[in-house]
Amino acid sequence: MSKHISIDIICSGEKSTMLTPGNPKEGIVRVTTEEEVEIGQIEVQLRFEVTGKLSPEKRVLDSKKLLQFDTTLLPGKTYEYPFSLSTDAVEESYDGKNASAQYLAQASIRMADEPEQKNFLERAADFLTGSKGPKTSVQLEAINSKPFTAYAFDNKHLKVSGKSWLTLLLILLFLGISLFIVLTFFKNLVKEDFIAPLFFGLIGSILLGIGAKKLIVKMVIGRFKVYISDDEDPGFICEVESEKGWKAVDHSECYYTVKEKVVDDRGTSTSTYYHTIYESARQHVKQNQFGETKFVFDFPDEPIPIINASDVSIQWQVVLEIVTFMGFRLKHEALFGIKKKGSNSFGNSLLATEIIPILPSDGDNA
Amino acid sequence: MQITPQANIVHAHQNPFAGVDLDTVEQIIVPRFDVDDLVQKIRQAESLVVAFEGKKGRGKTTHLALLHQKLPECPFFKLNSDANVQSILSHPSPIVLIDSIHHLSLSERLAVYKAKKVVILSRHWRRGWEYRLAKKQVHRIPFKGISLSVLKSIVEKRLAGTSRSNMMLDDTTLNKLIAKHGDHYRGIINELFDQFQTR
Repeated sequence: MSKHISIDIICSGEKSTMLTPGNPKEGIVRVTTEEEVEIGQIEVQLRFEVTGKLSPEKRVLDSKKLLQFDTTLLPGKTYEYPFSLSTDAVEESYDGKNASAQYLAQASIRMADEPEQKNFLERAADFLTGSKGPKTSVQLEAINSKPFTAYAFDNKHLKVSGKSWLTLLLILLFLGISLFIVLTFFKNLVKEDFIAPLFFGLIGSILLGIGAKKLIVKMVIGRFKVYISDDEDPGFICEVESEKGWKAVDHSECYYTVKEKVVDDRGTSTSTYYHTIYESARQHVKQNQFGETKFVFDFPDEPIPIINASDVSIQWQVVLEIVTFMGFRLKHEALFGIKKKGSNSFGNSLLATEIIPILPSDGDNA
Repeated sequence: MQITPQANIVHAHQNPFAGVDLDTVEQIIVPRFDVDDLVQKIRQAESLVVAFEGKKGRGKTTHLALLHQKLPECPFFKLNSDANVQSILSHPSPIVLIDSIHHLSLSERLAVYKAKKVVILSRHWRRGWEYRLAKKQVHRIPFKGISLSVLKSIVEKRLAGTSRSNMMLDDTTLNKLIAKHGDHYRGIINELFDQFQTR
């Protein structure tokens, strides 16, 4: 027969998703029992837990012992223990599609007759499977009055993606040409052995297709550079520069996405899951009177956290989709960094507006 | 009056099909083999490779973690592309557990077989010739196949101790999952994770 002890956590303060340094999170641990019990310790922890389709990550950021000596709890009475937990950095919880990164207040009780070496957190979980149902922790919600603000920024080349159809098209083109040449001019070869010329024709077509694609992209369309600045209030400015000018571009659109990235390294293989959590409105590319191509983007209405976990991240990415004069559609992407106004999670002063390079430039693929 | 320990593996707020800590794996696993027998064999062996072989997502790492629970004095190396064989060779334990041994080169693997009395490893493909080359006896455990009853037990264990402990998926649903994913347990668990994820 189990002893039924109920433990509850009541957090005080305004509701929000952010914890900030210097603003401790306060609350009460409330304990009731259905029969007389002697407890030895109550501890409350501020925990960071990442769970989902990945190897879980758990850290204790702060802990307080609320009771450190044997105490008898009587049935029918309610015992309340106030607590205050704090962090050194700005912290935000996130509940995503493939993973959650949460800051939790977790309380645990160790019975008076339990040996010290026993894992009392596990034991505490046992108490919480009583008749009142499991309840070990609540998500902390703190104050977050400011929306997105300062934005990381690195002038970098946009990386071409999603171009496999172009390669395929060119391969088919060269395959057709190869077959035409073989069938027209080397009929004797066909009679003797059709497989060898077909094989070499196929390989040659693949190589020519890949080479032609690279040549078209590099020589005709050229590379694109993106510059992001947060001069615009309340949004940010994205400027795109074309190496070869916009003559080869029939029309194009620019937008940005925010994606959840989860790296699952459980087991003998690694998988990466992406999920788009925000996509901005698309803007048509056109040059202003100074020949510049600038876009002003608003930040998302919903708060999106910055996650400080090893296998979960939120990626902000500028996307430029262009349709060339030949009708080829190419997609260019570049990651950019982000920080929040009022935060010091990057070790910078509050309300700072500055450029933060996040990734090395890899735009040579363009 | 007795307090009955029944530790929760996940909290109420968590998805029951989320990844679990390897040190709590005992609570969710349905072993493919008699673990105590294997542990006894490992402890008595003079020269042995225990090979967990199978495609990804079949439970090799989970079973290695379970064995590690039973052999706590032996190190468990979870290798990736940055794997360093020296950390394995320099460890004094004669018995080692190595997840994803394919990240080591052949010469490094042979050095490990030579240096250690018992190597318990996981990998995707069979490599019988490799153990023969190292003159090691091998106990091969294939990770292949799935049954409704095992999947049912796994789902029951995942749901136990959560706010969905009274819930159970019916056989039709589980059979559909098996038909879709085959014996890819992680694929099934991931699909259930998606179904249980509130966002």
